[in-house]
Amino acid sequence: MEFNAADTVWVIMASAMVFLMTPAGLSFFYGGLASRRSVLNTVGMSYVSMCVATLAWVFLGYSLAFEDSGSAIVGQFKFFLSNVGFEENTGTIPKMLFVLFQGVFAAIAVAIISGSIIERIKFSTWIIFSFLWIILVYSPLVYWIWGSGFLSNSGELDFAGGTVIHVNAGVAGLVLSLVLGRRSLAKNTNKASSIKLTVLGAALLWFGWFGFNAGSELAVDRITVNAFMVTNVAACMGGLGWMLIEWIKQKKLSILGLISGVVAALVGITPASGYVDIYGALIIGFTSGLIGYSGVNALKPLLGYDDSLDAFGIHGLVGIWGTIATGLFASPVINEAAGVFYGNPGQIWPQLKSLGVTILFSTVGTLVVYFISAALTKGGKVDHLTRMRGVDVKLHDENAFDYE
Amino acid sequence: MNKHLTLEEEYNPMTLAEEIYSLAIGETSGNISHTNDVSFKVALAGAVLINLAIKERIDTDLEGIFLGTGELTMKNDMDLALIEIIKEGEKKPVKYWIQYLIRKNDVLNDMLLNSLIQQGILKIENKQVLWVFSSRRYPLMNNHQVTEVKARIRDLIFSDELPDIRDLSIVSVLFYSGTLDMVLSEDEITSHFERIEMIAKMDLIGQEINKSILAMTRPRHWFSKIKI
Repeated sequence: MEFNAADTVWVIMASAMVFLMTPAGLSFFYGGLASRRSVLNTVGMSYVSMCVATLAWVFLGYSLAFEDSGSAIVGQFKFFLSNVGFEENTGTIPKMLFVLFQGVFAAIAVAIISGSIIERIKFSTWIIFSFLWIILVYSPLVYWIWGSGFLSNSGELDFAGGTVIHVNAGVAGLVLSLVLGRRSLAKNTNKASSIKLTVLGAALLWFGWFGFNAGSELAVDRITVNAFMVTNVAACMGGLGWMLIEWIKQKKLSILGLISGVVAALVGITPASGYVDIYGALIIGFTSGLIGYSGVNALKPLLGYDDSLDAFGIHGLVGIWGTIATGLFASPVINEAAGVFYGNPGQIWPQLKSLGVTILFSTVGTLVVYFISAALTKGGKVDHLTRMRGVDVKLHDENAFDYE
Repeated sequence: MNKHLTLEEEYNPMTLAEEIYSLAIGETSGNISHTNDVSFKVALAGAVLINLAIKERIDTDLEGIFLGTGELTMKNDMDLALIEIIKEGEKKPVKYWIQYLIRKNDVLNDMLLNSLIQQGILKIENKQVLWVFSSRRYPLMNNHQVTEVKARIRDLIFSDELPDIRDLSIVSVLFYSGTLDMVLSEDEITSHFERIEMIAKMDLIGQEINKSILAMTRPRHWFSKIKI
């Protein structure tokens, strides 16, 4: 297809917006939720993910993920974008821009995982893990679903990364949190260091998510505008949904609940944003808020895993719901594909199939990558004396709140 | 009176392990938690051994534990280990005895619970363990008011006072086993880390035992044995 300047400008902007989600949005969102002794370590995990994942992506990740090798399992083994021609296009945008756009997606995917395991993993282990996870888990999964792999023609609807990003990262987070174990015997002794930092992080995520979802059309058209609109509507409904259930259950309306609901709904609408109309967005947004709340406040205490900042509760669980909901609410008026409620009951199967493959592969792949990373760094866990002293001081010799 | 004992020790008939076990019992619900957690098991086992060392029934050096006076203490938790140490005869590493007590964890837990009930600190109603008093408190012991362990440890850490042997032993066991969060929030631990560490390091009697506790509760780096 021919180069289009408008599409190119939009995707450049969208890439910048998605970029901002990791070193600013996610790192502030997580950093504010972390206790005061681990703010910098938490922020640093997102920040360093951006650096490492970007390098892993241009080193080999992109080629494995998107360059058709004829295989159903993995793309081409071409290093440092040697197969990306300067003059080549992907659709109507330069191929290099497509690489860039997908690269910032890869970075946020691995950064999301950090929310499950703060204060428990050595920084060196995390750096190696981030690099290997992009190469060995993220890129093959992208190839299967978005590239030319065995699920690429399965009919799954995933507009902006419900399975590839959110379910994949959420499950990886849960797996790591189980491997690394609980931080402490006591429950809920960790106080968030700064809710206002988290509020700022959520706002940056919300802003960046417009690039994430609307940018995934890789062009400027009516689907782009619809994706932008439904993303915003769903986010608003998610915030209100979380607040409502919080009011019913706990008789309080917390700001943390409000912004968690917004983020949950942004996750839920991600795979659906290019397929559903306003009504679908209202339902997906609201239910995502409810499911996110249940994951964080019911499932986590019930099962006792220490998903520190709820990467699984929000990204994993709601990502699963968003993928299923896309198969239910996809409207043929928006993007030709029809979901169960628009006369296509068969749409649910490819959604479930992709979910099953993603959950299984992410579980096994994450375990393998963690054990390799831990072996290379002589043990991946932070010991309890380091944690008690504070990982910021002990590992980085820095302090986020140094004003005593 | 034993040379290591203070007035507090003389008036407080509870063993170190009993006091640490009492921390696992919910303030109001009476639910017993953490007893299956490895670090808590190690803490209890370490407390038993340190208590024996304080009472001079055993002694430790770099190579392990050896018999001191060997006289039974008439406290079930300590005698559970002491009888076995006497039987074993030869010196074994501290780790060996901690592992022994971890294997006996169920028996040890039952002993501690029964002892606390007999002392009038806990009671069982409708199969639930409850504090005899409405809140976490000890009854008068030998006509002497004993402050319960959690309040005592918190007061100690938030003050500049010198600890007695009982309290510093409890702080060091909790510190090295990673179970101090039963007494303090993690933020409190971090902001008072220097003070806690200083108290923990004052425990010279339990020094070798605490080293083993720390080694056993630290993440095991078996990866380091892999040659890459």
